[in-house]
Amino acid sequence: MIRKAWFKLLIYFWITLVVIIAILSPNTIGMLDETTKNMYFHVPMAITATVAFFSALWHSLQYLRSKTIEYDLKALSSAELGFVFNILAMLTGAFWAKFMWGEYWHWDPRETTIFLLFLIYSAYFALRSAIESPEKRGNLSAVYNIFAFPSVIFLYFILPRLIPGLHPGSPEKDTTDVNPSVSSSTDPEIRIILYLSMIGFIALFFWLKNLTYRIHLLDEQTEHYL
Amino acid sequence: MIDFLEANSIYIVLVVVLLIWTGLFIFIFKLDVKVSRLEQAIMTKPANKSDQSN
Repeated sequence: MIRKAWFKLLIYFWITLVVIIAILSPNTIGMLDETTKNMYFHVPMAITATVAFFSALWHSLQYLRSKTIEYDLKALSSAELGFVFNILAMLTGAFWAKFMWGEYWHWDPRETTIFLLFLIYSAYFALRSAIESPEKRGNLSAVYNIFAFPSVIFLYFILPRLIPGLHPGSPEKDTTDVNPSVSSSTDPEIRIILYLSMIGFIALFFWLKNLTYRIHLLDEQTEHYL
Repeated sequence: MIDFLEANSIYIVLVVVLLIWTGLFIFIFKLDVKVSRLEQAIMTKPANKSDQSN
């Protein structure tokens, strides 16, 4: 399905539609004001990164079961794209924080945890580049990947909800109004746009993963010609 | 058209974002086509010589 032209065109029209609705939608949540629109783009980056890291975990398990290089390359492609989406979430968040909190970066719990994820997956690439033998590289990086994924769940979804912070969705001491997050009580229209955007970017991830994987595979195959 | 955009500047942002997305989409799409072509080229290449030497 991913390699079919209609799937790619569907992604194009889907994301185009999401952009149009997101930018023209008049909905706002509390103090977020016009930057509520940011939520339709910034949040899907983190969600897509989660899906990408899960895909990396999945292919790592497949690699360990079958020991075929294809799964190793799929895991690598997923982790690379997850890394990119993670950086996009960091950058868009930092830019927004400059205007909302006054600084690009000041180690809010959310900022700290996303930076830790950045480090954890940086180590994955460092590990890969340090090992010459393909089998050893495949085995070690697959095991590393499997241990890296639980940290995504803790650092994206659990820790920032436990520690008080400025980021929307963090627990707040006295009031519930100043620090909104998306929950079942959020305006359904906002949630629908957000979910449509997530679906669009996740589909885009699967296309890019397929493309990245094929390039890695070509790289692997052409090594014989060199 | 111009009058409308001057009065509703959010539509200017919309056009800018859509242009960027369209440009990136076309780029990725063409990249995909090029990769497919390379895959074809490798598959149709007669017997991989160095496979035996390795």
